[in-house]
Amino acid sequence: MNGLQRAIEEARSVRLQNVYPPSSVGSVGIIGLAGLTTSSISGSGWELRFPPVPQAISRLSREVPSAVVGYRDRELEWRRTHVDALKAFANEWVVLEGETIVAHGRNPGEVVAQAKAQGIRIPYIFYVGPSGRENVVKMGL
Amino acid sequence: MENVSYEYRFEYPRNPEGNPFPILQLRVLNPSDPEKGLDIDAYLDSGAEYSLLNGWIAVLLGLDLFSGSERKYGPIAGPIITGRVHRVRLSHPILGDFDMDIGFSTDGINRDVLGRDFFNLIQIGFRERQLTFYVSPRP
Repeated sequence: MNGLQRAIEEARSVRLQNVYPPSSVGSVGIIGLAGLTTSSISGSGWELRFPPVPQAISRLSREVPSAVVGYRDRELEWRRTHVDALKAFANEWVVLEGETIVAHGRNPGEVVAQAKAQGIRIPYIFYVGPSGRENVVKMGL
Repeated sequence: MENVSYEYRFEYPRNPEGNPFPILQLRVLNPSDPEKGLDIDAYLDSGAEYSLLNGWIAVLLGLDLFSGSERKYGPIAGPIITGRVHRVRLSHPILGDFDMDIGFSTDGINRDVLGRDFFNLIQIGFRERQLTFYVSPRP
């Protein structure tokens, strides 16, 4: 049974709403009620209610995929936790491999060449912006 | 209410200054020489009609920057930026490969930007409050 069908079936599972006065049917009646059809129930004072199907679908639609990253998840995690360390490289291009800054400088071509000289086949390079501009927001180019 | 489904969810990574932004880490490759590649931060910008990357990337990919056709980019302020268009491959391990005509700036720019030409190849949605974006790798 696929996920959608399962959610619909769960939403339609019988919920017994006891609407009779407290002095009425006991446990035997509840067990027996699970196999009753709607027509036989109508005369017993019990009411079957089915949650509307859209609730099941809306619950399913809130299931979101797990977050994915792609390339450089290790570098991104290092960058997230080493913001202060990166300030030392303000206004420079940096090649980060794993958790190691393997090259840095003002000229991206030279930085990449340094990284490749150390055996990095596909360097991950980014620019560290100038410090002291925390009150300046980014807008496009 | 219209519902849209996406296959992949990305959390905004932190840029080098520590601020969360909608960025994709992409591998830029020269299709004619795939050994020449770079991994970069590409900022997703729905305000950009076309993507624009730094010209030095084209040079490092082994491309003759100025042999590409010229395209002019008008930023929100400041002078027009001239770019040269080259066919490159943008590769992502989950989203796949996108062979695109990408502009490369003839002057330095602060950020490498993916614009609506890239968005035209995928489906993308943003939830800014949750610092999350969603992608399906087909239009």
